[in-house]
Amino acid sequence: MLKRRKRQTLYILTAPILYFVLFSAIGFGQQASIEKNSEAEPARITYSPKNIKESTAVYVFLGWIWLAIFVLIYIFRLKIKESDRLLKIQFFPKNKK
Amino acid sequence: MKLKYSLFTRRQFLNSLFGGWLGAFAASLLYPIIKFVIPPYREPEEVILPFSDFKDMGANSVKNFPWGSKPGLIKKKEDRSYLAFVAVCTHLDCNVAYLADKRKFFCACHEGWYDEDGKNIGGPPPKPLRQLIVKIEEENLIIKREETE
Amino acid sequence: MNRRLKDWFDDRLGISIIASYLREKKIPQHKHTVWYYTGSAILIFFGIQVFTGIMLLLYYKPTIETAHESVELMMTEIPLGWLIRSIHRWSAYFMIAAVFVHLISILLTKAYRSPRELTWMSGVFLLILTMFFGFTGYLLPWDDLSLSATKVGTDIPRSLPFIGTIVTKLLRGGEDVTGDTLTRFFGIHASLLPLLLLAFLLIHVFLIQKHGMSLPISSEKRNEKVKEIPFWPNFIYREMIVWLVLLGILFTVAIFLPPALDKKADLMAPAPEGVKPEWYFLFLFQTLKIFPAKIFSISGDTIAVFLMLLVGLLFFFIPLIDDRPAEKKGKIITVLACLLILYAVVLTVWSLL
Repeated sequence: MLKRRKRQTLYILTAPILYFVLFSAIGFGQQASIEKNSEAEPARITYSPKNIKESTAVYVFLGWIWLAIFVLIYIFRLKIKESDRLLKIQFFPKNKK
Repeated sequence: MKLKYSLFTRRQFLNSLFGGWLGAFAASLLYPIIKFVIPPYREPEEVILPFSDFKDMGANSVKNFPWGSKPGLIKKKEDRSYLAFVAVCTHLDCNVAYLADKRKFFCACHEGWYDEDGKNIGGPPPKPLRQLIVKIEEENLIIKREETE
Repeated sequence: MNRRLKDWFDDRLGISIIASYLREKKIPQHKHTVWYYTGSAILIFFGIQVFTGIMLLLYYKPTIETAHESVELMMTEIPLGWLIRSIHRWSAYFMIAAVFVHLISILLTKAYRSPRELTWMSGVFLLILTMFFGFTGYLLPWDDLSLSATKVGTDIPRSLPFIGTIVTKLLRGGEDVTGDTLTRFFGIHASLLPLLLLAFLLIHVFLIQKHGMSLPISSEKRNEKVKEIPFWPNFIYREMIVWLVLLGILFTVAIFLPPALDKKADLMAPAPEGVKPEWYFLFLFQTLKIFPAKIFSISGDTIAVFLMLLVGLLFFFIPLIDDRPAEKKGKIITVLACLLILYAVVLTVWSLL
């Protein structure tokens, strides 16, 4: 039962990542650094990482952030379990009231 | 050797794990912030000036030019050759002036003196003025960064 | 050693008082507990806004000659400038979305009922300030679309009799939208609004602490004991999980979908095609659009603006109007609130089509 819930949360959490990875794959074609208008008018600037070094840095950063988030969530869940148990056995006498 | 008791409790272990990851997470947020806050260094590779502006300079005189966001000085020597300096004192970054009558560069902030070739000769400056390379190519005066850097 | 250091600071700062208060603060657990998370979600996005806003200030230059250029420089030259701008933009969207969710949850669970009327009203002020944040911030890059949107937006008050023209002039800093408007909007966006928002936020949060978390009507009526957990640490850990996930989503969206910068606004050029305000203003924009030019020789805009003001006022005074929330009157008001939400959603979708 618990396993299933875990799996569900995992799905919910990964869905947005997958979604945006796909989204970006589709969108990247149009994100060429600068679109030139036909005339000499100043162009509309869209931006994405301009060289491999920068884009690698950004993606590694993002990957690391998500990894840290998942680990932290795992630890937070342990902490929640612990604090809920302490509450149940009324570890802090003040809480009784 | 196997210890009979663990040196720290499970709780301590968990807490330090928790603090460690939280710290690592916060620290990694600093990466884009620091990257952004420090602007890219934008010293020019070279500056091109029209030679006509400097042709008629008298010997032992100087003329200003902008070297990026710093002042540059072009000096015409007695032998009619040109020298170029970044006119910033090597002590604490004040702009220096050329005193033609004394044939010296002078920094007013802390009374620093350089001789006419930019060598530090008096006062606090620790290093000579930074020299730039001057090249004359047809109509243009090309001023470049020193290659050694 | 550690203990003594702790005691030294505690004697001087009194942290333990706050700590024990946070331990005493109880969060009820029931089927509507989810909505309790929306408030702190807004707060975290606001924090990001303040932070990235200050960072953007390092490079942004708020005059008509330099605004567009400085944003362009930020997006092309400054390392990760595009990312910081993107986070500021997306965090604004997320914050406003969170505000809407928070608002709707409170409207439908009737958390505004006595004694929390003033909490609701301070919340409405916060809503207005947030929208105004969005409105003033939109102009700052000084590109094509933002200029037109601001022209339209600042022209709306003009249809009010007597005070309308003055309000428009006040907003624009003159007859028309010019560089003065830009400088004025910048001052409002970066200095006036943050201070006002903080003031109202203090009131809002203080009132929430004073009255405690609101319970749903159903469990209040049954007068049963609701299960509770302490805010610290049981609830805050749960909240932190939500914050982390939101942060991750924010970064992901900001990295993959950075906002574009249109070409520099030209005060003399005709309006570009497809001028639309930001998505959170679309239902107001569409409302203005569907009104005919003249209704019984009164301008349609005037009527539309008056209607909006009326609805706004009713909205503000809902806690006073809805004084018997559990009875028939309360139910009618709930239905009306649902209709209002439905109206906003339908019009937003309509104007997107």
